[in-house]
Amino acid sequence: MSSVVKPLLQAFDIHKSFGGLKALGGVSLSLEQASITGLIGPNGAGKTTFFNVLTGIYKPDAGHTEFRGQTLPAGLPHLVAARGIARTFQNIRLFANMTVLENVMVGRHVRTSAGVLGAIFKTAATRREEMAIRARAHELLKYVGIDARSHHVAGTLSYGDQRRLEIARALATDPFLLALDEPAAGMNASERAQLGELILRIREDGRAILLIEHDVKWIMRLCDFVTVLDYGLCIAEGSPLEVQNDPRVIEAYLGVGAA
Amino acid sequence: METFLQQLVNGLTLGSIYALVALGYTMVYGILELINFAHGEVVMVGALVALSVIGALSHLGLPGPVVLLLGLTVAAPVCMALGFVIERVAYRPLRRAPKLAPLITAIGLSISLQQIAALIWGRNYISFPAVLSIDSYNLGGVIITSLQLTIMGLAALIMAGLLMLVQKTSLGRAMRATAQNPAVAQLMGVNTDQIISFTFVIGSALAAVAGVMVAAYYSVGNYTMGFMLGLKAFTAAVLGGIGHLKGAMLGGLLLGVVEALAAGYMGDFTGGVFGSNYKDVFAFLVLIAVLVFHPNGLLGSRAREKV
Amino acid sequence: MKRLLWAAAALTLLALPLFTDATLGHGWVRILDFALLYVLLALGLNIVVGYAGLLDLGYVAFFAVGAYCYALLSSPQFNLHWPLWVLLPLGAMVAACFGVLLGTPTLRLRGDYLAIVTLGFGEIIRIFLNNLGAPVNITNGPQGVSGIDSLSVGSYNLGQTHGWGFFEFVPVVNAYYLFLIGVLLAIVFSHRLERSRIGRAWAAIREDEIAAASMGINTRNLKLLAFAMGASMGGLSGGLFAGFQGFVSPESFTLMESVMILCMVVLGGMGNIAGVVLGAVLLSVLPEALRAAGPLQQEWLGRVVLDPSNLRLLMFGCALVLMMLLRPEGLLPARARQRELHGE
Ligand SMILES: Nc1ncnc2c1ncn2[C@@H]1O[C@H](COP(=O)(O)OP(=O)(O)O)[C@@H](O)[C@H]1O
Ligand SMILES: [Mg+2]
Repeated sequence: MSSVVKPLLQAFDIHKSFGGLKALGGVSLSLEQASITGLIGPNGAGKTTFFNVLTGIYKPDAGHTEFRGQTLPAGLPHLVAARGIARTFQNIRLFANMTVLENVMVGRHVRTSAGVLGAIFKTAATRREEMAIRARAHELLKYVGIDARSHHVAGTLSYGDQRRLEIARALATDPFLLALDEPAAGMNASERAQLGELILRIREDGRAILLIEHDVKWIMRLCDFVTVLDYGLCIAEGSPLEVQNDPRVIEAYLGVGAA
Repeated sequence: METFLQQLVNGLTLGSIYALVALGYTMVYGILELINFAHGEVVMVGALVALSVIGALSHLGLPGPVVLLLGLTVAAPVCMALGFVIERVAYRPLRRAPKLAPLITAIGLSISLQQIAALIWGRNYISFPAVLSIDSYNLGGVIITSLQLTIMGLAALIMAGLLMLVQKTSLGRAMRATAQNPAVAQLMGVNTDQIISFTFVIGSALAAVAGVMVAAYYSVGNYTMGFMLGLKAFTAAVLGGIGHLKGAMLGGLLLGVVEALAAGYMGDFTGGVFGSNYKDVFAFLVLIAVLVFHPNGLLGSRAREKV
Repeated sequence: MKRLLWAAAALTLLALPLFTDATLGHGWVRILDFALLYVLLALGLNIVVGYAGLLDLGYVAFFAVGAYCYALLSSPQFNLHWPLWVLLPLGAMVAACFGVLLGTPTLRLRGDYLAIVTLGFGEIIRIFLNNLGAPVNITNGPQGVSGIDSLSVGSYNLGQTHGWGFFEFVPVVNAYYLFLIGVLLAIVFSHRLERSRIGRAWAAIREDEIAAASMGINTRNLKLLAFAMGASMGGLSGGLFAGFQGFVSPESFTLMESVMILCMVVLGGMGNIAGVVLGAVLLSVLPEALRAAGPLQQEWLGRVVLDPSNLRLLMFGCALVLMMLLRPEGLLPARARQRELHGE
């Protein structure tokens, strides 16, 4: 699977422990441009922890990540977002008391620049920017299919719509890489199918996607590459087909002896 | 050297009192993650109630320690009831509210209690009746009084008792379980509401003892006395690691000593620019330094928020 | 119709001090002046607590910084007499610097720790003001600084009575108009900030700091900005206070003052400008009615049983508790707060 293009992201030997618990014991990972990569593994394998390290919420104990040819700042989430990685959360973290539209508008923060003076004096530039933010937010809400709810309070949306809103908010930061932590959790089959389509569309726009998911069938259909974590270690990676037949993966998922 | 030892003795005395109060903060914080701002006021109420009782009994010619004990016997239940009521009225209804809410009621309560005390006891300082005959012992230039010895001894005894209670009894086990994870504790059959009430009551009893000690040690009491004391005790709790019993004890003693030494030496070190009138600043600087550089305190450890 | 209402409101605000002065006397105009200063303070604290969700219990420190800044540079203390248009911005700026100074090491702290640290900071400032009378006399210690130049705009001295035709503009009335300008500016600024990119970022931080950071918001800088903005309004208010009173001393800047301002914000409705203004006006005017409580008791009971100043503080304390229990979103709640506390 070698390509001439440099990978979009390369994580090198990431370690992270919580007290005595080793959540990540040296994870290396590489993501291609405009690809969909699945990150799977049993509960507690360290998938979310990897996301948290990647997006700067936790500082790794060791290891570093290169993104678009530059080393990512460790432990500084806002700078990671500025570099072009956006994420959603396993347990949805919307700004629950703000409206749907406002949530997405917050996502534009990092790509806009109006400051205190601009706000206070309502300069022409600020007003233009504000209008552009609003327009882009509506566009994204249409893109994920919840524009009709733009003036509802985020916390009152249905579960599936909250997931979509989180994706729209993340997309508002113009990411090169979108990291989704169990976006399909709690969705029924048809919602899942819709979400799959949305993810494919995002990829077509040229963005790469890193996806944590438990539904192996769904992910195998969607992803170009799959990486399997178990006990904080990367135990397999490759195309869905390769991974599916890897005895270590079967063992990790089904327990010893099943292979 | 003599100054040093003298300030050490003074600091340890004061520190024992801080430690008792700090325990109240730390126990409540350990369970509810709430700074019970009104705790300092409970100390103040304990002190003023005891002062009233002692004042009333001072003419009867009873022996000093007996009078003191009687004062405490009245002050402790009053404070325990107060602690119970505070939790019920101001904190329990807000358990699920946003973090800011109980903090604001706590402040409101603290002010209300101060003003109520001012209405009951007046705004002036109440002096401690001369019922105690205090002996002083001179140990190589360092003077230590029987009162100081009593305070330190009693505080040590109470703290040992508290540790026993928390570590050895089933009630203590329930307290620890609640502190670790209230939801799980509840599932395991612990009546967490009761445990929380109990925690407030115990903390308030310690506050009453501390209140009587402060009143005796400084020989005065006043409706504002709980405020600074409470803040310092809270600092001590943070210094030791909030939520951690031994931490509160260590933090209290340490803060007492640091403060006493600072008061003793600050003038010398700064060529008289900063004198002992800055000693309250010192406690706050300790607090800020600990929070900024070592927010878990000396003994504490807290898992960070899971994302 | 709407325009008519605005015009009526404007006219009322303009006529209010003259009318009050004519009917109730200077004393009540003075109360209005203080109400305006408190509105300014409450609006400043609202940026910190209401918008960014940071509980600051030492807010009065910034008021003190602004007041002393004005007092020291416009009084016989150092024999300096700088003009108002330099002093007010300077006081606001110095206060903002103090805000950043306090915020930098502490903003990483959890909410309740921040409350304690800010409270400590407030006390530290007061202790310094109290003690910097010696060995080098900077603040004149507990006696405070007196003989501060009265407020004057250009050659118009607000500390003197000016007759303009039929109307007489006494000092308290002059001050009212100056303070009103300050308050109106603060309202416009707050309103615009709230609805800007910055205001949204503050709201996001208040709602979920981790999610906000993941969206690219530099949470530390934005919190510092909130601190600085809030502090500068406090500083401005302090400067006006100093010039108006002609005298400042550490006694005016106690923790109780911080609590009272917080009380105004909470009572009115955190995060909502109209609510905060209402809270500030109510809590600065109502207690004045309690002053009557002393003489009344004297008359009815023969002695003063309940000290009015105690009653006032007791009222604040109880108001804080009761508001949180019964109507935590305040009298005029902000939209988001109401949702947060009651769902839809
Ligand atoms: N903040 C934290 N503090 C302590 N332990 C944590 C924290 N975050 C994750 N863990 C632990 O790290 C391990 C990996 O967790 P996680 O990354 O959430 O797993 P996954 O997302 O693969 O289910 C688990 O054992 C979890 O309990
Ligand atoms: Mg996970």
